[in-house]
Amino acid sequence: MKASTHTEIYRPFEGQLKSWPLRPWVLAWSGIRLGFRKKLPAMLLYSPAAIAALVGAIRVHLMFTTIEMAKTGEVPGMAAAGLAELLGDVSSNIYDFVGLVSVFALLAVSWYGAGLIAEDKRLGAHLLYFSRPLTRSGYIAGKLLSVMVFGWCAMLLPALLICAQASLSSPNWSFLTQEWHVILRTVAYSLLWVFVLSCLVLAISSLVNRRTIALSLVFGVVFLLSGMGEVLADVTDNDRWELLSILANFSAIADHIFDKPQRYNWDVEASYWVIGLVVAGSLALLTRSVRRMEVVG
Amino acid sequence: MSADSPPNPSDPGESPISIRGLVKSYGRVQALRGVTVEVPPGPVGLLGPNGAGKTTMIKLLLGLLVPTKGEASIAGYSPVKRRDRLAVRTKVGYMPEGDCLLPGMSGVELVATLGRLTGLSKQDAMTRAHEALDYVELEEQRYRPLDQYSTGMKQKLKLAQALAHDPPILLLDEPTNGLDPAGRRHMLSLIEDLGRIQGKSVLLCSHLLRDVERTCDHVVVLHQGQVVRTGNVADLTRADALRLRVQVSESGSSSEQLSSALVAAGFGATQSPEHLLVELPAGSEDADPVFRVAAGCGAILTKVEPLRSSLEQIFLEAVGDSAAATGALGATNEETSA
Repeated sequence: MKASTHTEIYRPFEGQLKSWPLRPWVLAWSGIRLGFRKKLPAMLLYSPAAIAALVGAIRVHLMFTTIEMAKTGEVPGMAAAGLAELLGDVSSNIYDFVGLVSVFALLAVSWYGAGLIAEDKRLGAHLLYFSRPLTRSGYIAGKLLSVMVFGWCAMLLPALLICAQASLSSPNWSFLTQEWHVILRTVAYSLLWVFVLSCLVLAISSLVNRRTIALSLVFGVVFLLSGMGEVLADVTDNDRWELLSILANFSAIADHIFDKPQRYNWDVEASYWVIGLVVAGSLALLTRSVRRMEVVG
Repeated sequence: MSADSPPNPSDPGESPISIRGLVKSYGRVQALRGVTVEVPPGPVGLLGPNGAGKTTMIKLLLGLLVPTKGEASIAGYSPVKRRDRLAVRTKVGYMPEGDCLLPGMSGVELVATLGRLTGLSKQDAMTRAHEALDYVELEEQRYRPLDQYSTGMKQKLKLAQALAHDPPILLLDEPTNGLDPAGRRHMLSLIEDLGRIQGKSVLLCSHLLRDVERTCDHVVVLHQGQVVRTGNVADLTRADALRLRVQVSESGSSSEQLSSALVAAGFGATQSPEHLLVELPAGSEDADPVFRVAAGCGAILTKVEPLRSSLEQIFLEAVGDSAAATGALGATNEETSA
């Protein structure tokens, strides 16, 4: 049947709706594609991580090569020892590398995550999402997954690249067989860091209607709290004040996960509690805001 | 209707939307004050001046708002209950009033993504997106980013996304807002096609009387949060047996002479440039007395037709307060002049 002023006919849908569609994944995938479509921010945010990964991979390769050359006598023992000292051990290198790329992950998660819910609210796109059978938890999971992918691309991917290089360069895959725990620790720490940041950024994004405001708030919360903790710790000469800082808590957790000596004078459990509270608070805020977005009582 | 066996909203005669005593308050302001209405299948107009509660009612039906009191059922489900709310949304296509579109996405991506969120498979979603966009005539523009869309294209796209999963019920909130006359005609023809030919239950929320008059069989008039008139458009605007529009031939007596003769005979008569409006005395059964007076004064009648009430009159009578209706009438006049 044709309507009078147009030429296209209406075609009814003959198929079936899926019973259990992966709605969060659909939402996440759409967010990821939209995010990566803007080339300049992607280039600016991921180039440093890519360069760091490249340098790190070369460094790891050189370490194993030096060891091998020292063993075969191609490099004199003294020179090999000097080089080895300069390059450090693989595990410490990966630990340092993870610390470095965590900053890039923070930037990527903040940049992409700040607008994810705020822009939906500003543009009213949530009305389109919630006029579909999308649950609130589905919406949160979709947005969270989307922002975590942006974070993992800046942190987990480069870290895994270094681990892969270490495995390939080590003789007889010795890194993989003997130091597999470093890979697990890297993955665990990256997952945790990106997850916590994503929760925090999305919670802040859900409170405001503008991406720029959300972005400012994220940096405010992360850096102002850190600065405040540091200043109070210096003034009172008690470094427990640094428990206020998300960054300091994550440093303590990194030391714990990578089995390094603790740099702070508090029990690492306290840091886990603080981060747990940050996650719980963020998720509570997120749930409340999204509930208000879906159904206004 | 039990939750286990929801009615098929496309069943003829089955009321797809039923509302009983619905109240919605925002603090002290009551947006809806005990609305009770059975919306029949087919195209139905939800009319009302700005701020009458139309959008609130649509959002309540979708479960996007929680009612303060009362209950509603759409496609046999209660949008207040969480589980039903999700089921409602597979049966309903919603076209919101605002832009609601994400910049950066293309039209086809948006429709396909929303189709997938409703439960379509990836392939079906893409096929349906193209079908719906073909239907609303968004041709190659469908591949453009949404931030480059004109208002007309955005309205078409919003209709296309509402049709992505082929729902039996459509809730359209001010679909002709911001459209030029050609775009508006096109949009109305689509709505008419969907409601009258494709058999969808369309609830067209508008403050533009002509849009509703053209596309809808049934009308619900909301005013200050209450239903003040509901009924079939044809019945509401039925011919008024007591008022006639009379045209007089130039070859006989003039219409002024006929007018004087009619007034002398006890009829009401008003001269307009093109015709004479005649009001018959109460109790008159037909137009024979007018013919007799015309024959008596030598006037030749070329046309005699009963005057129909326009939806505008019905609306004004229902709303009563003309000041409150200014929004709707203003818009009607704008449209007429356009």
